[in-house]
Amino acid sequence: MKVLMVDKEKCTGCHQCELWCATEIGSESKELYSAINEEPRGIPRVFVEGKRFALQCRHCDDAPCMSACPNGTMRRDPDTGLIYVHEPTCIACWMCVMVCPFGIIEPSPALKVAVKCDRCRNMGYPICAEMCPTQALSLRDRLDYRKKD
Amino acid sequence: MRYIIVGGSAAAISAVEAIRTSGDRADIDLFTDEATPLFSRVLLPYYVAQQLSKPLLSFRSADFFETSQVTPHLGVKVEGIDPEQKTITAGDGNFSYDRLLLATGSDPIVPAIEGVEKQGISTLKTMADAEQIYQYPAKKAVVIGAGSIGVEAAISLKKRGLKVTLLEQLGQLLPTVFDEESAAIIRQRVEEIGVEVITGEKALRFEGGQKVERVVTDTRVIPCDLVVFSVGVRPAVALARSAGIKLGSLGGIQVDKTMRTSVEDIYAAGDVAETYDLARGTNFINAIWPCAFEQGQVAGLNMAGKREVYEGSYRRNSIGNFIGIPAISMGLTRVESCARESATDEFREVKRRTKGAYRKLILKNGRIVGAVFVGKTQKAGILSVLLRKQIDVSSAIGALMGDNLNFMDILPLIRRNADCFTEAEYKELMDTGL
Amino acid sequence: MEFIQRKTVDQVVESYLAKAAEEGLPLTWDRFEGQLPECGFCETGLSCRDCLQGPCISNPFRESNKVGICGKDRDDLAAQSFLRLTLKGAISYLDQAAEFSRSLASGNLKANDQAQLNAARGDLERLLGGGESGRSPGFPPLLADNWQGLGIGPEGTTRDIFRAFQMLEGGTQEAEELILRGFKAALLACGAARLQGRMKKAAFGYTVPTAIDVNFGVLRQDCANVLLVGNISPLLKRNLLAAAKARKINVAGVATDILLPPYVVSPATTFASQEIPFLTGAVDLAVVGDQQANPSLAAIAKASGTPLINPGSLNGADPAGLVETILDKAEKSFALRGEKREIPEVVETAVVGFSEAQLPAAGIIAGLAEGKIKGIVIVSGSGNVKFIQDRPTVIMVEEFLKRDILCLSVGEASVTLAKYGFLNPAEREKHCGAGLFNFLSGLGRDIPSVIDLGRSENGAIIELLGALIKTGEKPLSAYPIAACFPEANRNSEVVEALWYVAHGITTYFWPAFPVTGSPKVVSIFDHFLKEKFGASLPIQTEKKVEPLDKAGRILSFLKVEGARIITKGGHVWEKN
Repeated sequence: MKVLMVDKEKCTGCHQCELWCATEIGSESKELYSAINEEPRGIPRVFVEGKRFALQCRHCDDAPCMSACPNGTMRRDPDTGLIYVHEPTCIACWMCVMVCPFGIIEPSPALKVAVKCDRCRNMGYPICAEMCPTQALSLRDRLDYRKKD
Repeated sequence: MRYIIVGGSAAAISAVEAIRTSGDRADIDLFTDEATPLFSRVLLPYYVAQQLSKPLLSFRSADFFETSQVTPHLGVKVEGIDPEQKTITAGDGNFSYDRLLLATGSDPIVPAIEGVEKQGISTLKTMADAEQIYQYPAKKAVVIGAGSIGVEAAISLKKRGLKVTLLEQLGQLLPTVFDEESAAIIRQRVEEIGVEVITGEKALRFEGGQKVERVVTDTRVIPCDLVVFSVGVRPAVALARSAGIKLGSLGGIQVDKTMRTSVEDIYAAGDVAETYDLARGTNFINAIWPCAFEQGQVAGLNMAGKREVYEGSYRRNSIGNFIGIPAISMGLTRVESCARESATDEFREVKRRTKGAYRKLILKNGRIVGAVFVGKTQKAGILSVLLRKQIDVSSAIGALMGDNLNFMDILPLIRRNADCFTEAEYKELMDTGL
Repeated sequence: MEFIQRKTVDQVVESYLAKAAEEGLPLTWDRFEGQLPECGFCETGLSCRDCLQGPCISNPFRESNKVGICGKDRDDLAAQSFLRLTLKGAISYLDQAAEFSRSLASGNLKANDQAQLNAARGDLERLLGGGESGRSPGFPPLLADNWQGLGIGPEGTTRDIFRAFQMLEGGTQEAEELILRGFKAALLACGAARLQGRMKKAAFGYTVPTAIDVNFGVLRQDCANVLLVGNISPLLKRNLLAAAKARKINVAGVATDILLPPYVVSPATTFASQEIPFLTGAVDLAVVGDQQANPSLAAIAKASGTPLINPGSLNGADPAGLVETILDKAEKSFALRGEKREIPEVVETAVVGFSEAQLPAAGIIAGLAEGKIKGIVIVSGSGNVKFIQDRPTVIMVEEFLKRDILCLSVGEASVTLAKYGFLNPAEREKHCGAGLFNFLSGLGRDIPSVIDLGRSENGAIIELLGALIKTGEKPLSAYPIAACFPEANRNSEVVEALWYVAHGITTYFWPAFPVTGSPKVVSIFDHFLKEKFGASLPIQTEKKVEPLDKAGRILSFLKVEGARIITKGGHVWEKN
């Protein structure tokens, strides 16, 4: 399983990943200018926070959001291992929001769904990494240390 | 190897999934007295409110049993267990098991109030309950008990166009879930929706003919044609008790850290189990979905021969979009409910109220044992790690209470307390590039 | 992300792209691709570096950083981002005019008309100082009154520029006020440009339409070539041209004023491809100005062994000796470098340098009234690497000419069009619709398809617009007239666009100003401006629009029938 790594030496905190994530993934129009005008506004799945650090869903192996979801809306893609919100069934109970240790699930009262990064599982490559001007974000292999015996 | 699972909700299904993901392909028989499989009890109020149709109440797809290679026995009540013979009696047959999971859940409490047998009085726990309330021709409902289900049921009925009164004998809404201050914020919202809220009053009797027509409290008479009880649940231990399985002091099935009961090869998980509560520092029955799911997973893995330890439960509740103001709480909600184990224990509450938001931490010796978030809840999950691992957060209170709380704020705490985490947990948290 | 596949439609330039790549010389297009993706906040005007507390952004998608530290919201940021462009653009005009005026005072040029020169210099002095309140010298009263009413009548640098700069640092002005401040600064620059034109005429004599050569072929095989890049003091250039002629040294230019009567600087190429002439090996020395001369020239000149001279540097050479120094060095360089040069044999004839003298306002108004010409489009803008070089300008102008639109071109746009024969009278029949062809024939002999009015800093276009208003006694918004910047890049071009809008000419500007992060400011450029000037500057927010559709947008504004217009989701051809 690949994991999105952030090189904190390279991350300048420029928020470009948030901007393009909200535009490409969170908006209807996929164009920045139109996305700015959309209601409800697009929601970035990545958070640039703290001391310059872009954080998005870690797709935990032992994912609290999946245990907390009362109707199986939080799902893991069997092929990629990526966790995503199956929006049609989300009832906006925010149980997942409550348990995410990274705080990266955003409740969208407007859309009545929990919004989180699915690492652009349908696009091939995460837009945040693609747009990062300093290439601070990159997909790398994760050690398989979590494998239970 | 042959598994039998009694129950069909979160703990049961998560145990099935754990057994299967561990690679075990042995036979699994699942018995549940619910005829409708795989529905999520938590969602019943949504069904009553007509916000979700029946198919959307399912938390797993219809072919779950098939793809998981489970033989379901739906609408079948398990009558008894013979731990010696390792068999169960259900329907008209005996079934043998090598390992058995009791995920029998809980039964709703129906207080012995005069007139409680009248028509139009129901709990909201099973699909049948929900169906009955959904179909029942009523104009005016009284919901008794303002816990999570009670509040949601009241709003559901209101959304269906009924006149609704929510009656709670304690002094606030959601007494076990939120503190007075947060409950007051939620109460305001509930009242804005149009639900009449009465607290500090007790239902004394139900009046009417065959059908209920009035609820009488100590100070008033509330006309109604529907009453929904939601005064809490108790673990459904009848089956366990009859099999001689040891119960805990709180009346749930006593389990060890692997979710095993006092009887060899019998496990228990979910609302029926009494587990160590991380926030309380003592055993407790946390009859909530996430705990059931986690316990089911631990039980399933151990049943399949893996070694997995349940670190403990803690209460987590979220008032979702249903009410219109996000509010969550975890662990304890007030200092007064903290158990003082030694004279040196030091308890502290930290509160912050801003426009449209409320946040409170309950600390025991500098460790989070409870948290309440109202309004802005997104980053609340960050605290769950600290609560779960009972990490001393004294040095980070400012950040934890701040508007810009983020994961980076707790990284130093996690680093400092690396030995609280398993290797896998620690790496998962650290595997961000930091 | 948009990676431009094709870089240019200029075939000579294109052939050099491969050569540059082989030699490992990065060009402007490579650097552009290296910059992608460009900062979305800056692109939409939602960033600010005006103080040292920042930098700040307004994040459209998060509450936490929606407003800058000092409280600038997205409307403030976008309006200020625009104001910043206009102030810098205005200063570039003011500086050029001031510099020219100073050089004329100290030089020993015998002016063509000393009295007029003194008058223009005096007027300019006032503009550069505090100015006079309520005075918009020389503009038609119809305009000046409106501007005065809006509070944007240009007064003087300290009132119009200094004041406005303060508003980037504080205050609670509404976006509308900030935009109008931008107009005020632009109009001050407009006054300065017109005075610069008048000074030039008074000093050097009137320009007349002149046939020149354009494109790489203007570089010479057999003698030293001096290349002038960007804005360079007209007096220095003229002196240099005079001396070079005597010494048989060829002088060519890029993005620089062409006509310095009686001399000519032949354009070797256009702005975007300014590095390419160095790759021919035929540039023996380059004189580099400031505006429009890319800093990349230092590296490319080094790679091609070309000495550079910056006449504007602080401890610059003695102005008197500078001309001789340049020419000496150029000759020496030529001798050293020899004749090992590959000059593409491509050259196009162009007639440039028209003014209101050859374009009688009455004739234009009559042409419109009689329907010979269906409208007027001013074409300007110097090139922008965001677009395929020259393609939008050429396609759009082609479309306009076909539909009998009188095209007036300004500055670099003229050179761009010249490269493709649009300024060659012999090609007129090929481009123009019958009505336009007749109209142009009526203006005299040797009139090309597109009429060049010189660079904006010489103000000929402003004089012409003034004449149209005075003669027609109507605001220009009453005519089918538009301005269009198909590929603009500089602050001074933004300022130039504002001149047109303030004159009542609806203006189409590509790319969009960095204001698109604020729906309010975007709307100001449309509705508010229309209300105030009768003309708007609709912000062109869509990224991928075909030039033909852009032309269609303008033609449909001009109410020309049969134009291709775009609808959302696809192209629609209007009924012919």
